[in-house]
Amino acid sequence: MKRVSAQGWNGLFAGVLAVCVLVVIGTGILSVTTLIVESVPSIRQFGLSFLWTPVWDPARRQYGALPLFYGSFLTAVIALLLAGVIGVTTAVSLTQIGVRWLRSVISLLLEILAVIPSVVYGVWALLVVAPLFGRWSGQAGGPSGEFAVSGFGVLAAGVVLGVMVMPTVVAVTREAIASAPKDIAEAAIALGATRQETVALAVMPFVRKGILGSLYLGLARAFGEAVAVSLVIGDQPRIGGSLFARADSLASMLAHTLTGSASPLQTAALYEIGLLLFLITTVFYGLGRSYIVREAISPRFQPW
Amino acid sequence: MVTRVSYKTMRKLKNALFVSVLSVMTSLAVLPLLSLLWSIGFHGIAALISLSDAPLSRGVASAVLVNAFAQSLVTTASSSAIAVFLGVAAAIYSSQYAGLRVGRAIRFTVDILSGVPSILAGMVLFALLSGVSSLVAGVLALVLCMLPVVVRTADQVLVAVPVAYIEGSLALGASRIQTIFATVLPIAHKSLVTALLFVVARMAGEAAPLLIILDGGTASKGSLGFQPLPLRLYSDLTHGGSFPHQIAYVEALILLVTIMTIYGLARWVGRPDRW
Amino acid sequence: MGKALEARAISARFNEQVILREVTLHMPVNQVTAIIGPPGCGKSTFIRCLNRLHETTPGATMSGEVLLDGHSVYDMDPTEVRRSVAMIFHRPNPFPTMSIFDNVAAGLRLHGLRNRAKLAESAEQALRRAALWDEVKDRLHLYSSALSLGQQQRLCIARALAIDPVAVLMDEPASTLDPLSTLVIEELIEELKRQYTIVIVTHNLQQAARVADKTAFFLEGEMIEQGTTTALFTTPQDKRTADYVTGRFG
Repeated sequence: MKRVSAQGWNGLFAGVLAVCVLVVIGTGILSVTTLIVESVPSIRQFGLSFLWTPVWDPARRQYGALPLFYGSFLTAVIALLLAGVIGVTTAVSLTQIGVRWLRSVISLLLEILAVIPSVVYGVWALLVVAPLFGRWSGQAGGPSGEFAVSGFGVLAAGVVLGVMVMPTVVAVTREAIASAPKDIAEAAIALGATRQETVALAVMPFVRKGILGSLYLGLARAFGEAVAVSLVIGDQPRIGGSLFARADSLASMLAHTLTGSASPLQTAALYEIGLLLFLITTVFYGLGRSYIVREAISPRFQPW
Repeated sequence: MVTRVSYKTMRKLKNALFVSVLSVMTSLAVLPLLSLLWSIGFHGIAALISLSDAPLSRGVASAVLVNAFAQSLVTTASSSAIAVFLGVAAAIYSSQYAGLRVGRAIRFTVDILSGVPSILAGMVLFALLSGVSSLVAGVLALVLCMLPVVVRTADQVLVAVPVAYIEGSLALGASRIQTIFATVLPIAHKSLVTALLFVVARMAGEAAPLLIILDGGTASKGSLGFQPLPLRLYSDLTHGGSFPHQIAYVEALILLVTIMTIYGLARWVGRPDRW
Repeated sequence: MGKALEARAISARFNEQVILREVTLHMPVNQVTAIIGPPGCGKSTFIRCLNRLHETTPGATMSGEVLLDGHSVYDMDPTEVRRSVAMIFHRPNPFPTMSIFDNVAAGLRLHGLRNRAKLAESAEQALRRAALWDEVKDRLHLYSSALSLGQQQRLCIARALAIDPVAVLMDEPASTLDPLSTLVIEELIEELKRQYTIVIVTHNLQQAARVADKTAFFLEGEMIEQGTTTALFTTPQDKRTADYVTGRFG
C-alpha cells in the first residue's frame, strides 16, 4: 500500500471543491438553457412581435407579452416610488437622527419585514390592502375578517410590492450612508451646518450611487415577485389604463397559469415570459450590484 | 442684521422640517409591518379559537396543518442540506483556492444567479422533471434557488477571515486542508451558521418555486397530497376550500412564527460576543 | 480680534468609557495653546468639546462648562458655536465634490451670504489669510482634489477662516503632511494668532515647542500640567510631564 502524500490529498480536496463550483455554475447554465429550449415553439410562432403584441388570449391562441410588461412595469414603478421615498428617508433617519435604541428597534423591524415570506404578504394584502383600495375605488368591500372581493388591481399590487422592496432599499442606502466619509460630514458640522445641511452638503453626494443601486435591486425584486402580486393584481392580462384596473404581471402570470396551461403553445409562451423575466431581472440586478461598490462582508442580514 | 436673524430662523425651521419629515417617513416604513403582524396575529388566533371550538373542523384542520408543516420540514431540511453542502464547498473553493480572476468570475456568476426570481427555478424543474416526482422536483427547485445565495453568503464570510491567521497556520507547516479545517472554519463558523440560517429562513417560506411544480399536481386538490405549508397557504388563498379563511389565517400565523423563530435563532447564534 | 476660551471641569464619555476627567483650562486671546500627550489621552476629545462637535458622535456625552468670552457655549445654538469656533482636522477634508472656490464659499453660503461679489471678495480674503491665494487664484474652479495635501489643508483653513471665527481649533493639523508643508502650516499659525485664539492638539513635542505660547499636558484623560510653553518644557512640576517631555515614554 502506498501512502497518498499530503500533496495528493490537497489536490483531491481542491478537485472535489472545484466540482462543487462547477455544479453551482452548471445549475445556472442548465436553467437558462431550459428556459430557452422550452420557449422555442413560442419564439418560432410569434417571433419578435411577441414583445409588443397587446393581447394575451389563450382562447384565441394569441399570446403577446405587452399586457404583462404593462402590469409588471406599472406595479414596479408604484413600488419603487413608495419604497424609494420612504426607504431612502428612513435610511437617512436611521443614520442621522433619533435615539439609538429607537434606531436599532426600527432596524430590527425592517429586517423582519424582509424575512416575511411573500405568501404571508399575500394574506396581508388580501386582508388589509385590497379592502382599503376597494373602499377607495367605491366598490363594496367584503365583511371584515374575510378576504377582499374587491380592490384588486395595479395599485394594490404596487403598494404590496413597495412594502416588500422597502427593506432592500433601506439596507443598501444605509450601508451607503455608513460608508460615506465621516470626516467630510464633520467638516460641514464644524462649519456650523445644521443636520439637514450636513446631509445635503456632505452626505448625499456620496450616497447617490448607493441609492441608485438599491433602486435597481428593488426593481429586480419587484419584477420577480410572483406570489403576493398574483393574489391582488387581479389576474387579468389587460392594459387597463387605470390604477384601480385589474391587470397581470410577468411573474404573476407564471404563478397562476403555468400548471393549468391548456396547450403546448401556451406553455411555450409562458416559458418565453420566464426567459424575458430572467433577462430583465438579471439586467436590473446586475446594474444594482455594480453600483454597490463596497460589499458588506459581515454576516449581517442581506435582504437582496 | 435683521435679514441675518430671519435667515437663521429659516435654517432652523428647515432643519426642524427635515427632522419631522424623516420621522414621519420612518413611521410610515414601520407601519406596514405592524399592520401585518397585527392582522395576521389577530385573525390567526381568532381562527385558531373558532376552529378548535368545532370538533369536526378541528380534526380536519389539524390533519391539514400537521401534514403541511411536516412536509415543509422535510422539503426545507433536505433542500437546505443539499444546498449548504454544495454551496459551502463551492465557497471554500472560491475563497481559499481560487485565484483572483477565477474567484472574481465565480463571484460574478453566483451574484447574478442569486438575483434570479425564485419562480423561474420552479419552471426549470417543472420542465425537466414534471411527471417524475413532484417531491424530488420541489426539493431540487428549492436547492436551485438557495445554491447561489448560499455560495455568495458563505464566500463573503470566509473571505472575511483575516489573511494573517491563514498565513500563520501555513507558516507553522500546516497543509491547506488543515488550515481550512483547523483555522478558517473555526474562526468563521459562527458567522457562517448565522448567514446560512438567514438563507434558510428565507427559503422556508418560499412558495413560488413549489407552486408551479406541486400546485397543478392531481394529488393536491382536496386531499392531503404533497403540499408544504407556504404552498398549502397559497392554494387555500386562491382555490378556496371548505373553510379557507380560518385555516389560511392559522397557516399564515404558523408560517410567520416558524420563520421568525429561525430568524431569531440566526440572530441568537450571531449575537456579538461579550468578554 | 479673537476671544478667549475657557474649559471648566470638562468630563467626556464615549458610551461607558470615560475619556476626559474634570479638565479645566484657560486658552487666552491671541495666543497659541498647545495640547500635548500620548495617543489616547483625550486631547482630541477635549477640543471637540470646545466647539460641541463631540456630542454629534453617537454615544458621546460630556459635562462641564465651556466659556467663549465668558458665555457658556452649551447655552448657545450649536451651529452658532461652531461658526465662531472653527476647526481644522488632522486629515485635510475639503469637500471633494466642490471646486476650490465653492469650498471656501461653503460656510459663507451656509450662513446666508448669496451676493456673488461679496462671496468672491470674502473667499479671496480667506485664501490670502491662509497663504493659499497665490497658488490657486488661477484655478479656483478646479476640484479641491487637484491640490496637494498641504494645499488642501490650507484650503480647509481658508474655508474655516472665511466665516470669521473668533477661535480656531486644530486637531493635529500637520500630522499627515510632509515636513515642508508642516513648516508652511506652522508659519501660518504664527501669523493667524494675531487675529484668533488658537488651540492646537499635537503629538509632536517639537511642534508644540515651536508654535505654542502655552502648553497643557494630558495623560489618560486628565490634565496633568499646564503653563507657558517654556516653563512646561524646561521646568516641569510633575514627574510624568518631565518624563514625557524628555522622551522617557510616549
